[in-house]
Amino acid sequence: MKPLAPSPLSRRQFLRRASAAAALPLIIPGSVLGLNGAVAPSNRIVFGAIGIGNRARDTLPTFLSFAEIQYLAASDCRADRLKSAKETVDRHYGNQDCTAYPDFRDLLARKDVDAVSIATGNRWHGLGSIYAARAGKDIYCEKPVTLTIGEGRALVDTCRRFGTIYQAGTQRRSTASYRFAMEMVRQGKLGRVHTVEMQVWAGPGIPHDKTAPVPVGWDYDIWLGQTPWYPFVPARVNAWQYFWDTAEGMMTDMGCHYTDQMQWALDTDQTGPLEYEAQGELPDPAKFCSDTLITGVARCTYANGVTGVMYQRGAFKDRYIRFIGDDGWIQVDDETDLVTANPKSILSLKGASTVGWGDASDHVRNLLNCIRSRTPTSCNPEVAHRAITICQAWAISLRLGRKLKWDPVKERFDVEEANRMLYREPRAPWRA
Amino acid sequence: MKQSLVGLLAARTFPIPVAADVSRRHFRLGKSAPTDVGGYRLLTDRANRELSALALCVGLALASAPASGAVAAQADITKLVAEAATYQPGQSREPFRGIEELVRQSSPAVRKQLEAGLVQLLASTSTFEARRFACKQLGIIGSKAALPALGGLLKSDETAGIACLALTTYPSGRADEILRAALPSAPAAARVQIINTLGDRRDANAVKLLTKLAADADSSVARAALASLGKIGNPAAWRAIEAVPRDANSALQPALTEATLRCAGALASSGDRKTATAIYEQLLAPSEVAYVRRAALDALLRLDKDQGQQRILQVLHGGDAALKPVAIANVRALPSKLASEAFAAEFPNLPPHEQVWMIDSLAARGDAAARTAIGNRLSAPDAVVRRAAISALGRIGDTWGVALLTPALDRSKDPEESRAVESALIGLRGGSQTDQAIVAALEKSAGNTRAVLISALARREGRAANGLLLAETGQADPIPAKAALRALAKTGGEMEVTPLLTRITSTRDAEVRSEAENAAAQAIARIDEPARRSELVREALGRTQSEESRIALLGLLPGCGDAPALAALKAAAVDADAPVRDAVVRALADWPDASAWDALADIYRQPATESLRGLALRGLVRLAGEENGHPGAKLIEHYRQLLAGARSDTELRLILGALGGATQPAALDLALPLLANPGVRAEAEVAVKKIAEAIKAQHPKAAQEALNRLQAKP
Repeated sequence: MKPLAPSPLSRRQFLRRASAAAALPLIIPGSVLGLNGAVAPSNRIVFGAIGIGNRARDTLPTFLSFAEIQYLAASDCRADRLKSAKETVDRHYGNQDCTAYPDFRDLLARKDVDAVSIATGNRWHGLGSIYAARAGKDIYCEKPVTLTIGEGRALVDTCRRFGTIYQAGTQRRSTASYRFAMEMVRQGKLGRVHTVEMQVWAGPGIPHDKTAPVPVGWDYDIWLGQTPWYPFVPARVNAWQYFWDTAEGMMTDMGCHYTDQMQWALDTDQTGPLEYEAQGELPDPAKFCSDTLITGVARCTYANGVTGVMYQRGAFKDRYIRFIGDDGWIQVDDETDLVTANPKSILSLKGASTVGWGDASDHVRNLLNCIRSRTPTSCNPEVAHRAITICQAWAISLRLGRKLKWDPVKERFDVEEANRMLYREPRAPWRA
Repeated sequence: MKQSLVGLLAARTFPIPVAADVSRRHFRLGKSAPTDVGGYRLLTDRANRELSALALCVGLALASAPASGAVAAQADITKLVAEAATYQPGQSREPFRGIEELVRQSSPAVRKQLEAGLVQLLASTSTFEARRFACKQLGIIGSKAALPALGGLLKSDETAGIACLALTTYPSGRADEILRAALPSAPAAARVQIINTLGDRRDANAVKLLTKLAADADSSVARAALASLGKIGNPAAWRAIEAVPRDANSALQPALTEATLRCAGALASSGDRKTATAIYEQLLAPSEVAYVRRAALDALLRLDKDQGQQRILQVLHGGDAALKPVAIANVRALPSKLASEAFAAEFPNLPPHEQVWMIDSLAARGDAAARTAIGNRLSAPDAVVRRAAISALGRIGDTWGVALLTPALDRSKDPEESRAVESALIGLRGGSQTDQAIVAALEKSAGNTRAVLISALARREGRAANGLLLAETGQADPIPAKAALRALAKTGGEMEVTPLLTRITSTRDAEVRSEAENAAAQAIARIDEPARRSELVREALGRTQSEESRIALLGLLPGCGDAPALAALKAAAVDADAPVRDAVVRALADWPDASAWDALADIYRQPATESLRGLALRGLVRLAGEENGHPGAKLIEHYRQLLAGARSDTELRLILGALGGATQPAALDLALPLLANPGVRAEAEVAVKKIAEAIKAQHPKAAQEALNRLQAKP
C-alpha cells in the first residue's frame, strides 16, 4: 500500500499564496481601518470556524492574523479537535471568548456571527455551506466545494437566494505563479491554446478494516453527515478522501485546483467542457476497501476544441498544470510554484492585470472586501461549482465506463444513468 | 468464483495488455497531437501508452462477451448476489466490484437480470451494507420493477435513507407515488427523509400532504415540509407557506424564511413576477433580519423593469445601511446608458467607503461616463477613495489612463499612493501605444514622477521603451540612471546587452556600475545561445582596459559558460593586476560545470593567497557536489584531491558535506578513515550514513559494514 499523501497545501504554502503580490493596491474601505491598521471592534467581521482538522490547522492561523477578523466560535464533531481549536483562538486573542460547539448548527444560530470558515471533510463542504448560507452567514469554504454536481447547483442557488458572499479555497487564483500563467494564456502569448495538461498524484489503496467502537468524544452521526449510514470503520474514517461516499479520490480532491485554473485561463468560468471521458485503475477489491482511483487519466473537450487532460499518477510532488498552445507552453509546478515555459522568453513577459479581480492577489483580503461591498469573490459559488463539475463529470464517466456529452446550460448529460448520478439524496435530517 | 465471468473481470482489474476489442473503448488522444512545441509530443505519446496500460476492465470483457453472455451472466449474478448479501466491513469487496462492473455494461437483458438480483439483495436477510450497496446501484439503473421493493424500505427509519438514495433521481413518476404512499405511516425519521425526497423531486402532487405536515407537532417534520413546499414552489405551495403564522421566535421561522425566498424565486422564474415582487417587498420590512432584507432587495432589483435603478437610488437616499452595499453592487448590472452619469452624481452624498464601492461598480460598467467619474475621484480628499480610483483605472484603463494617472502622481505625497499609481500604470492595457504615452509623459516629468514612470515602463512588457531607458542610463543624475538600469534588468534582451556592457565600462559611479552589471547579467540570461552570450561579453572585454570594468565583465563570463568564455577567464588569470586575478578566481568558483575543475584545482594546490585558496575550495566542493549525480572514478579522484589538500578540520567538514551525496562504494573508502578524526567525526558519520543508505540496495554488504563501523566506539 502506498503511504497517504501529506496535506496538499502546507501552512507555509497557504501563507505564500494568501499574500502573493501583496504589493498590488488593495481596496480597503476607510471606515474599516483606524489609525495604524487598528480595527475598531464594531468594524470587525465575526467569524466562526466549522471543522478544525488538518486543513484548518493550516489556514486558521492565517485568518486569525487579519485584524479585521474576530473569531468567537468554533465547531467540530470531534471533542479533541474542538478543544484544540478553542485553545488556538483563545491563545491568539488572550481571552476565553471563543465558544466551542460540538454541533455546528448551534454556531450558525448565533446572530453575532457574520461569517464562517469551513474546513471539514469534503462531505460537509457543500451542505455545510448551504446551511451557513441559510443562516445568513458569509462563507469561506475549502475545496472541493461539493460532493455532486447537483449539490453544486444547490449551493449556487442557495447563495444567490440568500445574497451570500462565498469564497472557495482555491487559493491558486491568488498566487503569482498561476496568475502569470493565466495571463500568458489570456494574452495569447502561447498562440492558440489547444491543450491543458494537469497531474495529481497516484492514490493509495486502503486495506480492509473491521468495525470498531466510535471513539469517545466523537459525534459520528454528524461526522457522517449527508452520506449514507456506514458503521465506524477506522480505515474508512481516517482515509475518507478515498471513498466514493465521502469524496472521490485525488482526481477530484486535488484535481479541482487545476480544473479551476483551466477554467480561469480559458475564461470559461460560467460554463464548461462539453465532453468527458475517464479511465483508470481502481484498488483491488480483494485487498482494499477504498473505491477511488489509484492511477487514471481523464479528458474533457470544450466547445472551441480545447482539450483538458488530467493524469493521476506519480508522486505527490509531481503535480502540475501545463497550458499548451500553437506557439509554446507554460507550466506551473504546484509543489514549488516554479514556472517553466517554452520558449523561455515567455518568462520575461510581464504579467499585467489585463483581467479583473485586482483584489484576488490576496485571497483572504478579497473575501473580506467582498463581504463588506457585497460583491462576488474571485472564487464565487458559480466559479467553484463549474470547476468541480469537471472532476465530478469525470468521476461519473469513470463509474459508468463511457464517454459522456454534457450540456453546460441545462447541466444534463446525454445518458440517463449519468443524469441519475448528478445528485445524491442526503441522509435525513440533512437536506440541500 | 475465480473461474466465473465475474471472477475474470475482477482478475482484470489491474493493467491489462491492449487488445483490439479493448482499444476501441479507449481515448484516442493521438488525433490531437499536432505540435512541435518541445515536450508535448512526448507527453502525448506517454498519455496514449498510459491510457492503454490503465485500461480498467469496466465492462470491457462484457462488451466482447458472446451472445450467450446473458445466460452466463444470470448464473454469475445469482452467485454474486448471494456473496454480496453477507458482506460485512473488513471482507473482500469483490462481489460488489463484480456488480458495479455489470452495472456499467448496457446490455438490456443482463441489466434486467441484474436489477432482479439487486432487488433480491434488498431483502432483510441481507446485511445493511449489502442493502445500502444495492440501493446505490438501483439509483443508477433501477426501473419500475424495483420500486415496490424500494418502497418497502421506506417503512423503516433504518432503511428509508438508503431507499431515498435510489429514489431521488428515479426517472419514473411512479417513484413519487411510492414515496407519497409511504409517508403517512412512516416512522418519524423516515418521514423527514421521505419529505425531503419529495421536495427534491419537486412533486407537485405532494403539496396537499406537505401542507398538512407543515403544521405537524414534530418541528423537524414541519421544517422539512416547509422546505419541500418551497422547492416545489408553485402557487399551491405558496398558499400553504403563506398560511403558516410568522413568528420571529418560532423554531420554524428559519425554515419559513427559506421556503418563502425559495418559493418567490420559483414563482418569478415561472413568470408570476407580481406575486414574487409582493413577497420580496414584505421581506424588506425592517422587522426582518439584515441578510433577509439584503436577499430580498437583490431579488427585487432583478425583477424591477428598470433592473432596479430607481430602487437603488431610493436605497442610497434612505437610512438602511445594510442595504446600501447591495444597492451599489448592483449598479454595475444596470442596462441604462445613463446610469453611470446618474450614479456619479451621487458621489458627494456618499461616505468614503460607499464611494469606494461605487467606484468599483462604475469601473465594472467601464463606459465613458464611468471613466470620467472615476478620474474625478483621483483628486478626492479621502486617501482611500483616491486609492480605489487609482486601482480601478489600472484595471479598466487604456492609453487614456496615462493622462489621468500622471497628474495624480505629480500630486501624490504619499509613497503608498505613488506605488498604487505605478501598479495602475503597469496594468493599463494598450500595449506599445500606452508605453509610448508613458514615454511622452516621462519626457515632461522630473523627480519622483519620472522615477515612477520609468519603473512602470520596466514592469510593463515595454520593449518599446528600452531605447529610452538606455538613454536614461547615461544621465548624470545617478537616481534615474539606476532606475532605468533596474528597469532594463527586467526588460532587456540581446539588443540591449552591448549598450549595457558599454555602460559598465563607461561609468565611474560604482553603484551605477553595479546596477549595470546586474542588468547586463539578466539580459544575457535571456539569450538562448551560450555562444552568442559569450561572444558579446568577450568583445566588450577586448575593448576595455580599466581594471574595474574588466573585473565586472569577467564576473559575467560564468553566465555565458562556454569554452571560449572559460579560455578568456584562464587568460586573465595571469593578469598583472591582483584584483583582476581575484576576479578570475571568483568567476571560476561560480563556473556552471566541471570544465573549470582543473583551473580551480591548480589554484587550490598553489594559491597566490589563502583567500583565493578558500574561494577555489568552495568552488571545487560545489562542483563535486553537483557531479554526485554522475558517479565514477573521476569523481572519486576529485574527492581524493580535495581531501588530500585539506589543511584544517573546517575544510574537511566542508568536503564531507558534499562527499555524503556521492552514491558509490568508493566514496565510503574516503569517508570511513575520517571517523578516526575526532574533529570531524560527526560530519564523517553523517556522510557515511548517507552514502551507505544510498548504495545499500546495490551494495548491501559494503553498506552494512560501513554502518557497523558507525556502531564502533570512536
